[in-house]
Amino acid sequence: MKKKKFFKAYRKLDKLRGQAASSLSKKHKSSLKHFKKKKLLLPGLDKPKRLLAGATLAGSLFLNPGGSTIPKILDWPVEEISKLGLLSSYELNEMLKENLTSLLPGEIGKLTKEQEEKICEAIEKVLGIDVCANLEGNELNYAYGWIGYEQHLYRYPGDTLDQHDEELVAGIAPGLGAWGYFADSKAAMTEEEKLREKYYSVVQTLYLPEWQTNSEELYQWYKYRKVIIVNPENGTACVTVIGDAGPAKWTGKQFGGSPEVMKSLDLNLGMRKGKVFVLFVKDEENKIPLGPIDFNIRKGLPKLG
Amino acid sequence: MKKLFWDYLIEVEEIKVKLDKHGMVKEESYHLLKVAHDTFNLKILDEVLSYLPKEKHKEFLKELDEKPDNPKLLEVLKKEVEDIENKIKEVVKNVKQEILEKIEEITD
Repeated sequence: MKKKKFFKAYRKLDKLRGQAASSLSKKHKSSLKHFKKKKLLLPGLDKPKRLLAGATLAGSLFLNPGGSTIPKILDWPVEEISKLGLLSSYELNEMLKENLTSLLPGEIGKLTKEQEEKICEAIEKVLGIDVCANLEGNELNYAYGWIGYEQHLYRYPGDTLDQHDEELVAGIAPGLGAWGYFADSKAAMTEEEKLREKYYSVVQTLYLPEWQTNSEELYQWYKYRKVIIVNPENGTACVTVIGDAGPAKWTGKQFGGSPEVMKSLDLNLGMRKGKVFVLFVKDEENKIPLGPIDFNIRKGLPKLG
Repeated sequence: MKKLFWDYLIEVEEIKVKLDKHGMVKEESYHLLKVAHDTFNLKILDEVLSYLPKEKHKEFLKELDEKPDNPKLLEVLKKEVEDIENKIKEVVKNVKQEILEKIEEITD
């Protein structure tokens, strides 16, 4: 089959590109921080973010070939698609949704061992991220529950709503998050700290059974702990950090998401809540980027734009 | 695709011909040429930064940010690095050879 040749060629050339990017990054890491448009000009240097941009294009090109001889991507052999991660974000969402539909628990709460194994396996297969409900002996009271729309949080002393770049309609919470400011000052705020507020989540640490006896240690453990939030209704997923404690039991919700998180899960309109999975991300090296996951982290997507 | 000032030194006709010979259709070639082009750019920048004195990196990359297709950037480089144009051409030649070999390896 002709398309097999394309896959073979793509793999070989993508490997060369990867080697070139790796060599450049290693040799000139300190200089490249001055190169702000590197993602635009040399997209191979920053694969995950570049792929986000390429994902939609990939989808439109392959799903609407405009008379081209390339068949619809979904007609291609699954193994080949999977190997390349050659999927648009929509297709990826659909794939995750399809994988999770039969695994949805009947009720909100913790997952059984069997459920956890299957759900985490499905997420790993589609998104390329290792996740779990119990990490280092810590487990939330809910791995599947209701999430609600939160407001922005103050990131540093003197922060105001209009300094946030998206979803200003959400407003800003009057108090600080459970872990205080994200940065000491506006000038000192790093990109990572900025993204922590942008993609923060809220979990009910206060109601953990061990909280009464071990709150100090747990407070540190949960601070900015990376969790993935998956909306099984539509297959969207967002990697977040735990940035606040809540919501209160009486709300009937078990989690909260920043305005940007909720938007990425398509839960920012109407009732602004939905049932989601919240699972810990195994990311000891802090390599998984925060934000919506529109591509397979391990396999990436081909670059088009 | 954003233009870079060294684009005129990159020549992909042979790669196109090779892809055609392997029966790639237009969209497939487009994908593959994009990947090839990225590789050229990454390798060229690697080469340029390797020869350009470290203290000049910041300024050069800032200029590249502002106007990546500015031909004056080459003039700046020429002053700092002897024979830079030929050095880039050599990189292009080697990368092209490598790409052509990879394509040649492909079988049905």
